[in-house]
Amino acid sequence: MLNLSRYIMKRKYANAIKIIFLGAIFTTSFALAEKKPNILTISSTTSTNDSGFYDYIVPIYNKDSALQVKIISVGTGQALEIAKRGDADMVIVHHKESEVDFVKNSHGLKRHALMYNKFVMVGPLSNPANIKTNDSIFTILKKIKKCECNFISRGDNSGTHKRELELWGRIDHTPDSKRNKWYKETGLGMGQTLNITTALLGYTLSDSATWLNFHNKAGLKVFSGNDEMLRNIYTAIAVNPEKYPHINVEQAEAFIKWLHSEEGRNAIVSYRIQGTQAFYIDN
Amino acid sequence: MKNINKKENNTKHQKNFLPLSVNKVSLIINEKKLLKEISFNVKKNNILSIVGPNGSGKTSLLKALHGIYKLSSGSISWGDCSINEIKKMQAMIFQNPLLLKRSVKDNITYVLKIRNNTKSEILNKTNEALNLCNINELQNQQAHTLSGGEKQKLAIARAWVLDPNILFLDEPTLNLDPPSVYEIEELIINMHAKNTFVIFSSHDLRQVRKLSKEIVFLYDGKLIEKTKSKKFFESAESDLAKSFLQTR
Amino acid sequence: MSFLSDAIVSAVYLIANLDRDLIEIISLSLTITLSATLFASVIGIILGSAVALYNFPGRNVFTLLINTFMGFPPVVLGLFVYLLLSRSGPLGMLGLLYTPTAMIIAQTLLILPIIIALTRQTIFEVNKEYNEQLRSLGAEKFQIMKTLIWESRLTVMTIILAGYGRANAEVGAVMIVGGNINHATRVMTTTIAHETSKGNLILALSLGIILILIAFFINFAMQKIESISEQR
Repeated sequence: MLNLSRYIMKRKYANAIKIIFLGAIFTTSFALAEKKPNILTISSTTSTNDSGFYDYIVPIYNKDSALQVKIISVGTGQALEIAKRGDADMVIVHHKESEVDFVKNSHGLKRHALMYNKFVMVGPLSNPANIKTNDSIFTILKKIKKCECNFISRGDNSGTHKRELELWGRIDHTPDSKRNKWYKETGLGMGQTLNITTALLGYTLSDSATWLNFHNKAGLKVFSGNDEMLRNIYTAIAVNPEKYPHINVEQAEAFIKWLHSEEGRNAIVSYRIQGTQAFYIDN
Repeated sequence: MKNINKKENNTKHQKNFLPLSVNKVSLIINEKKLLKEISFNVKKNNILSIVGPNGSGKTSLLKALHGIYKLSSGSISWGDCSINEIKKMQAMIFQNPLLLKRSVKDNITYVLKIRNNTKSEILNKTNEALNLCNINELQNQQAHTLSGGEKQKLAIARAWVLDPNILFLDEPTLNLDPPSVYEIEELIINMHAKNTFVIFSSHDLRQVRKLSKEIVFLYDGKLIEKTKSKKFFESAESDLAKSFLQTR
Repeated sequence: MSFLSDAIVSAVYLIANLDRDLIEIISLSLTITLSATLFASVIGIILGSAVALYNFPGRNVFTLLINTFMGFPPVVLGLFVYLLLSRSGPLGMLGLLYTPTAMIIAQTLLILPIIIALTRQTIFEVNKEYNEQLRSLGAEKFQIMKTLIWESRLTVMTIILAGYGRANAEVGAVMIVGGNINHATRVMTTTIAHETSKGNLILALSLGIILILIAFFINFAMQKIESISEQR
């Protein structure tokens, strides 16, 4: 310590102290990082996480808690980006084109369809767009566009957002929040977008699981039905360890395998939100 | 962290008198010339006082002698000691002594700690200082709660423990009540008796007369006279000195 | 305003029941925020004092930058640290992403400028007052620095609390580098954001109330320490 103070006195630089402390922190972090148990990092979507699905199914899989399962929940776009950077071991997302792209570019190993539910169009009870019970999703969208009713979009590159854009595309409409004042892009997760939908008494496209689990539904209800275009399929993909050797491929593939096993499939279909089944599997 | 000057510090240094030689000293701060080519010598260990009207440069001269101000030109020498050696052998009591936010005792032990005294040395010297300056009962009190006179005594106690060769005081009894003034004057005499070279500035001419043997009279940054104090009061040479003494 | 009373009732209920998940989240929040405050304080106070007292080339630029960074948006800092710690990033081999350590690092960096800047300003002013006297007593620069820090300890305490406040309040940085992972990196602020997005608004607000209560008690404790030291 005596030499240290002489060094500081001589050079008159506060950087000396700074470097030492940063070094101390660095080594501490290193030490902390070393003590890692077996970790499986899953990059997934807000729709699956906000529905409470992982809180339900992970403990069933990880009975003895030998594994530390980390779920990152962001939009599909961001989830895939995180995986591309090597920060996750596997992804569970719900947008086919992006998934195919992901595997095609060797970021992921193989697509495994897991489960499905549907997208729902929710809107205000007052129903300003005058949607009828058996209207198809396309009719619904046309009516919303016609009445220029508030439509809240995720606007965040998520699976839900991409599906929404595809649906608009089918009726030959390209939503533009600059030209259409009724079309509002939040850039937020499903739950927050639903909050805004409630507040603005507008329409929005949500996944059914998040909607079921959402606690601020006052004033909103579901208007859509079981259109094929509203089917929402969730896929699991293990990240390719070629670029990132640290990827926990074994655990990722073990989990995917379990999800396809009888026990896993039973667990998936047994997940209920407010008494309603949240995810389905075709036999 | 230990004081890196461990080697240089010698608490049992010899208290030799170091003759002072001030040679054409000038001091310019913020483009103001505070001291103008001041020269004088002090060859004997007499209490030296610096007098003059406000703004004449008394405080500046003291600070220059103490090494706080770097000279713009000229030189100051103390016997054959270097500036660094001298620094450790000096102490100064400023006009408003800055006391640390701690107890009276801790203020004293502070200076001993930074000069690397042993625990027993610190204990002994602190007690001596507290007794000498008559502030023993106050030792555990927070320094900022002391009265003006008590603060000044603490400042002197703090300087006393250093056993300095040279002690500077800048208006030591300004705004103090007569009993405190007397006590402090006694302390100054005491320290001088222990072979400390005392240099102080004051507006109190009675005090100057009582304590000092030699006087340096400044006016507008210039040295006007340096004489034996008796001579200064009875038959000052310069007109400025004469009018200074008359207006008091 | 019934939502406020609902939230208060909910908060009381949560505290009374000592909900296990809540305790886990609160203790993680405290660990992260207090650790970050500790590290940032130690580094920041020393660095800030040194910058105040020692002259070095680029000192003015450094001060300008530090003052600017006081208002650094937490979410941007979080993104920066994320990119640093990401497996594709320069420090990826440490495997720190999505761990409490990453959150501590992010928060430390976030509040460091505040502590450096405010300490620098404080010590600079105090030094003007004390410098002559301390040098006269024989103190060297490093000793002066220590003494000035101690003399300004009450202000320094307030600076530390300001740093703590900022760390306690932010959600952007910890969300990005921590991931708000249940039972791993979920803290009070990310939980509040999460519950809000699930539509549990009253619960979210009640957690906010608890968060402020914790900050209140910490400040209260500091104030008590202050008054005790004043009396001595």
